[in-house]
Amino acid sequence: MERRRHFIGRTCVRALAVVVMAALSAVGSAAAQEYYKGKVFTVVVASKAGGGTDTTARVVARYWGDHIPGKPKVVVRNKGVQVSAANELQHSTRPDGLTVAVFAGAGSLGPVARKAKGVRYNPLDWGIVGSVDRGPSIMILRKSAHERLYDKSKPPVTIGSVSTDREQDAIAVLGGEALGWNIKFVLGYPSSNQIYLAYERGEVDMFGSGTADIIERFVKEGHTIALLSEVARPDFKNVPTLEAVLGNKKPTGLLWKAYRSWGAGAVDKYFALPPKSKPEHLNTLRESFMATMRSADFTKAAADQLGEGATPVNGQETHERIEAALHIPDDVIATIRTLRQKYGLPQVTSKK
Amino acid sequence: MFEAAVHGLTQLMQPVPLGWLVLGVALGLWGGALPGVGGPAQLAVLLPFAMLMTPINAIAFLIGVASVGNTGNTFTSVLVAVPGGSGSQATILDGYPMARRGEAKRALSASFMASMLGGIIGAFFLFASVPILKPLIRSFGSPELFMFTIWGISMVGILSAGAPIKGLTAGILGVLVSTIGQDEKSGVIRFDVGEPYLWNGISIVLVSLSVFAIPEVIAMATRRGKVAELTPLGETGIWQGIKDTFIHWKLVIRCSLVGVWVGILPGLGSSVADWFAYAHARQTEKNPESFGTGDVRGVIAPESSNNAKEGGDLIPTLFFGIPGGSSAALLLIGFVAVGLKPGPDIINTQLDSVFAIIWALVLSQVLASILCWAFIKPAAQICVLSFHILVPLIVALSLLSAFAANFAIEDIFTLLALSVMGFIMKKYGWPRAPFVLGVILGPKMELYLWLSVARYDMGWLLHPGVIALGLLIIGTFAYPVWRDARARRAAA
Repeated sequence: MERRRHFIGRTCVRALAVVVMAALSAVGSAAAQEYYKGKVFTVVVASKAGGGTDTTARVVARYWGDHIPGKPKVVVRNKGVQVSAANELQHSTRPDGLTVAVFAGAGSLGPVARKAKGVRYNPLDWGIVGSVDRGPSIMILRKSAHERLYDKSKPPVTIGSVSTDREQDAIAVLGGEALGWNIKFVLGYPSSNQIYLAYERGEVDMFGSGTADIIERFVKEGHTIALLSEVARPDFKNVPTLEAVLGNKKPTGLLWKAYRSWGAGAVDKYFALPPKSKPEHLNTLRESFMATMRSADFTKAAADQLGEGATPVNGQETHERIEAALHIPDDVIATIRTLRQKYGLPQVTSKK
Repeated sequence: MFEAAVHGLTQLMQPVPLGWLVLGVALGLWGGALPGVGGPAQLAVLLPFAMLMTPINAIAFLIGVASVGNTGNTFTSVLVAVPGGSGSQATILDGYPMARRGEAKRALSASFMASMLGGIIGAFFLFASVPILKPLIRSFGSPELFMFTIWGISMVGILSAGAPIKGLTAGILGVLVSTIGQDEKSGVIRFDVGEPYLWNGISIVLVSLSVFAIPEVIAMATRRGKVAELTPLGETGIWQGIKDTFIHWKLVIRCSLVGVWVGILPGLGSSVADWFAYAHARQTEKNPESFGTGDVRGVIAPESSNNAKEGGDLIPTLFFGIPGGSSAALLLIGFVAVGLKPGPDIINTQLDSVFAIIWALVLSQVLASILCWAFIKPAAQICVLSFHILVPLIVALSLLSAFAANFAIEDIFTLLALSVMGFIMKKYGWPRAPFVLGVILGPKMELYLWLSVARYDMGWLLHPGVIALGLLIIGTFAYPVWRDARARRAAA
């Protein structure tokens, strides 16, 4: 009898809690509807037009407006590149819930994780709305350069990269260290598109990409091989994984830890509200972000433009992944720095 | 192929796509005419709407918006020396002096005719160049692009007749200004004087406004006159401008080819097409000394080039699936979103869509020029407005444009500071065009030098293309000297 009374009491309390939550949610939704109605919601891409970050941001932006209460007009703007953009956006973006920035995990988190001097922002100050994981990167290699990759008596295989951190750089460095790849980085291309062009004209022999369209196109032309995939991809089943290529040469210890921590590999393209944004705006946008991710239109567009491996990650989980990506032991940071220096990769330093 | 061409045109000529094309052209012209508003910024804002359209409507709308900005931006360049966009800066050099001479209608009309013809030539080359496209693009790597930028800067000697040393100095100063901010390649922050605002560098919009627009406003306020103070506005100017363009048809074709070339070579950027064409005209035309004083050829050359570039720009975008610049990258995203598959296969699988794009390009150019001609007469009246009205108007327009570039109040202060420099340059006869060109080409010069050394060490100096361009640069310096020496000998 006592237990039954207890049960009824607990059920009543739970039901009341659900009703209160639903009421609060309805009030919140109504307030959000009022707030966003007729406004312009800006998605600022911390990257140049046409690359992976930009494409991801635009695919999301295309459907996001329909899921935000009040259906604001969504516009997309490009601003700077990763670190420099984050440096500025941290201080200049108004925390009014109407502007969200989109960053690449590697480009914006890598320099923070290894405590690079040029960084003047803290990703954990931002309100993380969610992220899109496009699937692992695949390394693309010119067939004619394959022999040189393992022969250090010949000119090195050139790898095209941008100036910011990229997880593909980590794969190449691991190849250089563990497999003895004969490689040389050519850094500084302003965007992924410029790397593809450089590959097209023979200036670089190798690059990494997670974008299915690009991988398919180059492989289809016949002069290119998909050398390896970071991990298995359902849309490129025949491409060997990094672990398979490494075989018994898979390193342990600091080198492997450095590879795993390099460029915050667990976070791909993330959407964030500027520091000091109100919690209610963050909640509204998190919900609408995930509603967008679940919509059939978005799923189809994402599969077409980002690849079948593209998966959404909610705000809380993305935040946790970012938190984890930023906490790297000092000896691992030191190893990453040493490797970056060895391969001529920038450290994002400043004169200050 | 003929069937695909007809099908592409038929699709486009339906009422709905045509309506979207007209709207796109109107928006593109509007964005172009307002400094700092057009170009990639406008396209970026409109793209989400276009991505929800049917393929043919999206093609019509996006091509309309993207391809006519360089026609619309001529108005402010010619009438008040405020560059409407990055593609119309060189037009100021002769367009504004023509307006001051009372020939604004002629200058605008010649500009629109040249724009239209250039745009059509660009569209033609969009298709005609496909067979030679791959070897063409592959022959230009970072070392060759670096030499191109050096050639551009070396042309300051040509652009600043009579003051080559000052011209070169101004060009180098422009390159130095372009180094302000964070170097994206190394992360190093340069010349920021402790101000985070400067990390992103100084916008070219601010530089061109402060170097061209504000000094002219100050001059106008000082002399308390109008833009057109020398003669009344001629009634026959519109027809004269059209005639001028056809009289100089060879120049139109040559400069259009320059524009197509700049468009095809990804990495040089749209803002150099007009300068390259202007320098080409000045170097190759008879009586080059009249350039810069209100010579209609100085309007025809850049205007035919900057519109022809639009066709060239689309060549790598459509047939490689790789855009060369920001606008092309945004177009690519739009095309992919509505189902086009840019890349080498598009010629086999979606030829009718390629033709629809070509037709949209042609129709946009014709439509834009017709619309602009309709506005010549009322627009030219600006030239006879009193300075009491015009000076505040231009200052307001310049401030608005400066603010619209980044929505940052600091940009206004930068504009004012740079304007002091622009005014001093004007007052003491320092050529301003090379300074602007230096700011435009500086980052590209640095980038391609960096990539050349990173890839080839010093071996890039021995590339055949580099040697050929090196000889061209030497020729650029030597030709005017030789020409002047020959003229002196003939006079003696």
